[in-house]
Amino acid sequence: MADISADGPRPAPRAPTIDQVRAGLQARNRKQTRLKAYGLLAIGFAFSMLALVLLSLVVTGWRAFTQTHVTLDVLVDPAVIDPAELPRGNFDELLEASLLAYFPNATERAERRAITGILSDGAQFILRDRVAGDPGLVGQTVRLRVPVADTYDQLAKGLIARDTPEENRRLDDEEVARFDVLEEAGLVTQPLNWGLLVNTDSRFPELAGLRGALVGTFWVLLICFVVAVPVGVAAAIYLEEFAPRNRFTDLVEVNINNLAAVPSVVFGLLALAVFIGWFGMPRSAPIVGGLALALITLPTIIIATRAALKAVPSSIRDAALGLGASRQQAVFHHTLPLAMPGIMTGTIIGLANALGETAPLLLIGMNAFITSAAASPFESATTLPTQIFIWADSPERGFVSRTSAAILVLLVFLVAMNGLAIWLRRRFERRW
Amino acid sequence: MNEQHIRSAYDRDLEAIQALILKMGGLVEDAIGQGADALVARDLEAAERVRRGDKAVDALEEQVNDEVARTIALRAPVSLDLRILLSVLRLSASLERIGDYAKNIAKRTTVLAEARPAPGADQSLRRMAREVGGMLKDTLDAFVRRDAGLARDVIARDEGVDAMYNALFRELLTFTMEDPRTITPTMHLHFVAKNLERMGDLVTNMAEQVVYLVTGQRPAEDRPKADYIGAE
Amino acid sequence: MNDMRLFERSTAMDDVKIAARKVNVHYGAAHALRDVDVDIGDRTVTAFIGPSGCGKSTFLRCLNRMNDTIAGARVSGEIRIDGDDIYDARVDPVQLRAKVGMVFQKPNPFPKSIYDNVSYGPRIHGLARNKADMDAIVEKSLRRAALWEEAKDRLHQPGTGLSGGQQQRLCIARAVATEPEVLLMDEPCSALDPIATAQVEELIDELRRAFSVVIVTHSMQQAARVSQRTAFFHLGHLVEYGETGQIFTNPKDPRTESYISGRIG
Repeated sequence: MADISADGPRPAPRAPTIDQVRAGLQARNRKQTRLKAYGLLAIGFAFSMLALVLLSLVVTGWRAFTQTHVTLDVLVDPAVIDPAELPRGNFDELLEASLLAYFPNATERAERRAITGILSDGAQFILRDRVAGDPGLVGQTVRLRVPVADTYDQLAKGLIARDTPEENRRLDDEEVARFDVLEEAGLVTQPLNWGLLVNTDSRFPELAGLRGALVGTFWVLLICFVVAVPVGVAAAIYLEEFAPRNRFTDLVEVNINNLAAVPSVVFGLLALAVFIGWFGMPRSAPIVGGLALALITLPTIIIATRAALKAVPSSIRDAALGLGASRQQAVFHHTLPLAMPGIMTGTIIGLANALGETAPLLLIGMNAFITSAAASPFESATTLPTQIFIWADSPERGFVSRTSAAILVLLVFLVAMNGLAIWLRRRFERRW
Repeated sequence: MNEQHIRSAYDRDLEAIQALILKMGGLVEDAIGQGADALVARDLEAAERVRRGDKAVDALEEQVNDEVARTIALRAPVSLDLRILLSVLRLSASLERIGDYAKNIAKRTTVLAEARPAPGADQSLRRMAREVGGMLKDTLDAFVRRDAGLARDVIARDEGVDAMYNALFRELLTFTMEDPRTITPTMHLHFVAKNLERMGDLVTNMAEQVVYLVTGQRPAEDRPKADYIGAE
Repeated sequence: MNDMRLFERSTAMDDVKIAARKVNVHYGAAHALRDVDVDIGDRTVTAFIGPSGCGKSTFLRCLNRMNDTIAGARVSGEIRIDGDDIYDARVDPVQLRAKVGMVFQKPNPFPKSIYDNVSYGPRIHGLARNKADMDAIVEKSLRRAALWEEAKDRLHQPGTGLSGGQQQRLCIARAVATEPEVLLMDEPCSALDPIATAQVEELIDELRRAFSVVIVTHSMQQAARVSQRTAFFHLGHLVEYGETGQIFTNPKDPRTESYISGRIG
């Protein structure tokens, strides 16, 4: 429709909208694809780092989940063991006797000492406990499975390579040969290392376990829960429902949020100075650790509880008030039960974070060497993270793999707790 | 279709309005009957009562108007409810006019009281009044029962009323031609007959309104008219 | 509803249940209600109509002191229920709300069982001596709300499993369980479909035989259908208050006329 007006031909009509849109569409699509790529890259990077960590842990730690043992038939010689004085008996001698049966040519004392050194130092106690449990065994032959010493454990697992030159090896050729004798006799086994979880700490890696740390962690988390949850929930309820809206309340809120950002080491110093110094609480005790962790977890629980309370629609509160409920009744009969799933989730996440806290616990001394599990929160104990710290510092080679194994155990707990939180949240989440 | 509204008060409102119409209709029916009887019997007191009774009919018409306006304002009726209310307005207007005609008949009775009764005419008039009264009663029944068939019957009967009027007209003409001194009363009688014929038309209007109410459409066929006033 | 039983309808009010004089409400600096004077009758349905933000909901909330829960709200003036000033310092709002019940716009049953919903009010006010008493109260309230037949076999199932209209009737049952004398309803039908609305309006018509009902509605047609007396609010003022039929056929104030015929608002 050529429209020639007096000023000349009109310019060509503008392209309709759909063409303009189409022209820009390619650029927009490319932008979108780029954005997606950035996102995937970021996630990929994060995951690869995570995979790297896990891989290195597994590679170093998986060996700690098995422990080389030797099975011996030990004759409980009544000439050596006096049933009346069992604890004093020389069980070492019995073990030596049964072991030497395989080395008839060993006569010198040095050689005999070296042969006995194949077994772990704790082997005699295993035998002792067995006989003490059943004194009728005196005079009989007992089949016993005992762990080997750490170096031989390393040898059996291939961590001491047989083909390195003798000067550079921990074990010389003779020692290796002796071990091979036992292996050929079929006495050597590598069952799962339940001791890692069941035994308490020890200088000897083959005997070391996490039981003390697990019990200590339990006590610490229990104290933390018992202190942080009621105080945190109550504080959140007060701030959310009852506090008047004035400058003072605002100040309190700001400070709580800031507390969440304080480095946990500071709380450790606080615990050291106030709980141990002023109040005179026992050092290295879970009660102090629990209190320190409670202080760390408190802001998290307060914030999570407040969010859960805010999420309950005000129509429920209005309905309760309209029926003549007091503010308190409205909160405790209606708002709080409905906010419970959110509170639970927040609590579990807070506790999971507390589980991994190391710095404050180190400061209050929960990295002491403890050989028995704490029977109460007032006895000295270690926790999983601090135990890892201790093992990481230990010189014995066996602790290298055990440290990684302990980290894996800790990770399992963390994942389990977070998984529980997610499951609970999914299960009880309400759609308003 | 469910007969009752969920809001029961709405039903009560509609029933109350219908009750007013029925009451009005009853009063008018009585006025027709009593008016005709008073005319035939030349009973002045009865005629006076009929004349005064028209006030009640007028008052009811006003009341119906107010109530219908109120119901329309407050209920925003649609469909059948709206047709009912619009029909009620027209029915009450027709009834009021029928009542006025009945009052007029009663007024003329006073004049006719002195004159000699004309037996043939009187009987015819009474028959006509009875027919119109019957038509009115049936129309009101049709309204209450929402019976379009009955209403159509009433429409058809108007032809009979018209025929009765024609016969009366010729009869009264004959009277006048026989005895010119009777012209005054005969003229009044003629007016009475005309009133009755008009009342019949109005009742037929009402019946048409009922058909519209029930079916939503006006009766298709033309109303049969037979009241031509042609010279023989 | 407007009863056309003409002998019952009277423009004079016999019993004044709530008397308000010079009521003013401020939300912080905003002056939401100005000098409201109104008498609300017993056993009548009174409707408050007006455009959004005119103050009708605010005034409703004054009647059961729900404005106390809003920070920054200041109420002045006098509101007397049965002659007693409800803003007197000795009056406990919690007790007041047992006597003046409220139903809200969006049905908000507690996420508990139907039985627990209805019994909550009587329970916190100690109105039932034993379980048999409470069962009787629950049944009576559900019957009053025309919900008994539908609910009697599922008393212990959650109230949130009902349909919208049923939920609102549950909220009504819950509100009447404490045997209030006044029932306040804040746009109770806005979230309901037309059939449910009709059922609730029929219910209101039955309830008004026992209670004084005050209903805020943004639908003029609803006010016309449901109430005997209507109050028109505009910009915080009470513009006109009178018998519903008169307001909708022949209002006195030109502002009322403009609002109901859709010329302003």
